[in-house]
Amino acid sequence: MRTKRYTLNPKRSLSIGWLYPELMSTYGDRGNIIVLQKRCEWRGINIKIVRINQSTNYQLLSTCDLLFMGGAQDIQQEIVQKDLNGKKGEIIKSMIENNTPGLFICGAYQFLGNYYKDAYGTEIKGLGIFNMHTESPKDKPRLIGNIVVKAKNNPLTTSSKLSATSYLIGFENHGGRTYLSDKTQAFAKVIKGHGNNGEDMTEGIHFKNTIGTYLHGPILPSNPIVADYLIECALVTKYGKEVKLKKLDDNLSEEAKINILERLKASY
Amino acid sequence: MLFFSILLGKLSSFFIKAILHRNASTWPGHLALESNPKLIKNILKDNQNLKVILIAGTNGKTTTTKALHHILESNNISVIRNDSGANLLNGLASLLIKESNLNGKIYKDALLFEVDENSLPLILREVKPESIILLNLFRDQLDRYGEINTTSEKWAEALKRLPTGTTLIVNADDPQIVRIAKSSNCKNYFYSIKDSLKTEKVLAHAVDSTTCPNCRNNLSYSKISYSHIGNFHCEKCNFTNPKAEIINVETQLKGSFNIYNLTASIISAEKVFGIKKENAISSLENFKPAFGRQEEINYKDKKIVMLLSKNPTGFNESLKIVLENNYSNLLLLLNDRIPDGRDISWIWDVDFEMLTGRKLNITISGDRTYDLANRLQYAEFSNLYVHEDLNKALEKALEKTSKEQKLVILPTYSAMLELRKILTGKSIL
Repeated sequence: MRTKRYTLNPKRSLSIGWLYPELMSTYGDRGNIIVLQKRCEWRGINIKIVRINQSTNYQLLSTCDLLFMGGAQDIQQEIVQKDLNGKKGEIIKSMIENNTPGLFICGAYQFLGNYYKDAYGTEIKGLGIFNMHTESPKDKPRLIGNIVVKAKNNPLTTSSKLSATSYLIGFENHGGRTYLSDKTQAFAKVIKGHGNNGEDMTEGIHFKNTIGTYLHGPILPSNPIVADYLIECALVTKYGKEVKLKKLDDNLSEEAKINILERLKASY
Repeated sequence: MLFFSILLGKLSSFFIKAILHRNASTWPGHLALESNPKLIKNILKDNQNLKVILIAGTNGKTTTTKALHHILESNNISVIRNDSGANLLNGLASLLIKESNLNGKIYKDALLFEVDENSLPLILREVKPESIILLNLFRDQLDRYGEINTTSEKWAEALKRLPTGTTLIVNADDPQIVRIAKSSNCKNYFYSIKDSLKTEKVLAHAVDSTTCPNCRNNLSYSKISYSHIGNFHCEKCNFTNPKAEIINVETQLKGSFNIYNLTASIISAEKVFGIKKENAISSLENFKPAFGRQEEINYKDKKIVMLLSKNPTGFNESLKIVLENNYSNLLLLLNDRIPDGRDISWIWDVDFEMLTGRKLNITISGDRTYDLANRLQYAEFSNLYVHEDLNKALEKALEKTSKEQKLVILPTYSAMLELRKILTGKSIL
């Protein structure tokens, strides 16, 4: 069946919900917001960034078309954990299940699982949106370094030609090991680096239109294909029509990626 | 035993310098420590007259150390001091070996040692310093140092074990640092700068300590110097800046962060060495910054200013200097080697957008040239010149700089060392 192509007119608009921008912002993850914002602006899509904090009313959350949350330090995560256990967590869950796209990095990714077991064996309940759990073993080292993965699910790898864009790069830095209940839900396959747990070659999770991942770098500036995927999903979910986004000049991020792929000798 | 370790260190140092032509700032100490793990303790025990001062923090160590060195020497106090890259135990051991005679005697008055975030707790296991200057804690090299809450916990633990006679010179405007100092049993002297110099309007995105280190409530700021440094208050537990000393310092060095650095050095000179403040202030009049820290260099008929920019907070401060002085020719260098940190995510925490819309010639180079260029593209800069080769990039950037203008270079740490080699023909490490 042929899909209707939709030309964007300037009235299209998206609201991005940036969850806890002050508390969850340790690893340059703001870059993801900058990239989403600019790639929309450059295509004439009106964009609004809605900052969601502990003091924000939960109703504001449901006005968002795309959700983003970055990684953070332990103390900050505890504060966020408390806030999410209330109404906000429920809303995020129902939004994601109803196809609102989202990107959750590192600590934020772990929050959305079933539970998190800390170094002392205490289990902390997660939001139960992703069918997975995370363990933080006391005696194992943090998983740190450049990482190369290959996205598994089709929307990200529509170009059938095997090119450098099929690979995604990032930088991982996490102590927790995440185990998916269903490995076919993995966001990507590890080519170089550790991924979810350093054992089963899976990286992140891809559930409905939402991605959870350990990729900092940040992920979207290094891999604009993922940014466009999220923007497309947001437009489709909001306006109910197929969308074809205008191509942008991504030569610089492409050069940067080739540089890292060559350095890590990930053949492509 | 001590004699042989020192001899071994001195011989290896001779070998490294004479035969390998390398700077011997870490290896001799490494070898000597292998043969005698108690070397540092033993040498220091035999030299009770040598006052040991540690300078710790994320940003400003080298400038503060150099300023204190300058004040002390101007006041006839003899000083030994480490190279900024040699700040682990092997660096300390190398320095002691170099400065002592074969019997382990050092005929100097003061030992200034700058230590990075990770090594402070390790150094404190071996050394009981007379005094420590605690400058600040920002996010830097998360892949190597970890997150700053973890670092500040380790610092607090290490400082709790110090004897009560230890003098701490403490930045009163960094909440984490204040808490660490207060939880110790040391003598604390707090310093700050005039409120009129605290001119930031809003907290930058790259701040790390927005929560109260005592009760984890949000901190509110009435004045901000830069990053999370400023006049803070916790509404829940009333945690706030301690009473602090403020000094009027005149300097050509730009940026409020440098007023903090110089103030720390003056107070340290007074409290630890009994040098009168007026004397310290006047000896700083002809103080020149350290290499890469705002030092002006003449090169091929052009003027170059180098602003070491190795983490979001330092980078933001450099960009503010560019903005305030209307500099228009920039060379940005991003490396990702071990001394820089392997993770370059932090460039997205830098507020490049403060310069968007200005007419600038920007040249970019370094190991991660394209990542930095990509960052600037998203900050909507045009006129970007990209050259992976540092020599070529420098040449191009100089070409675009007229004789009346200055070329401002913002390098990460290892890029600064590379540049120094090109500009001066010799290396530091």
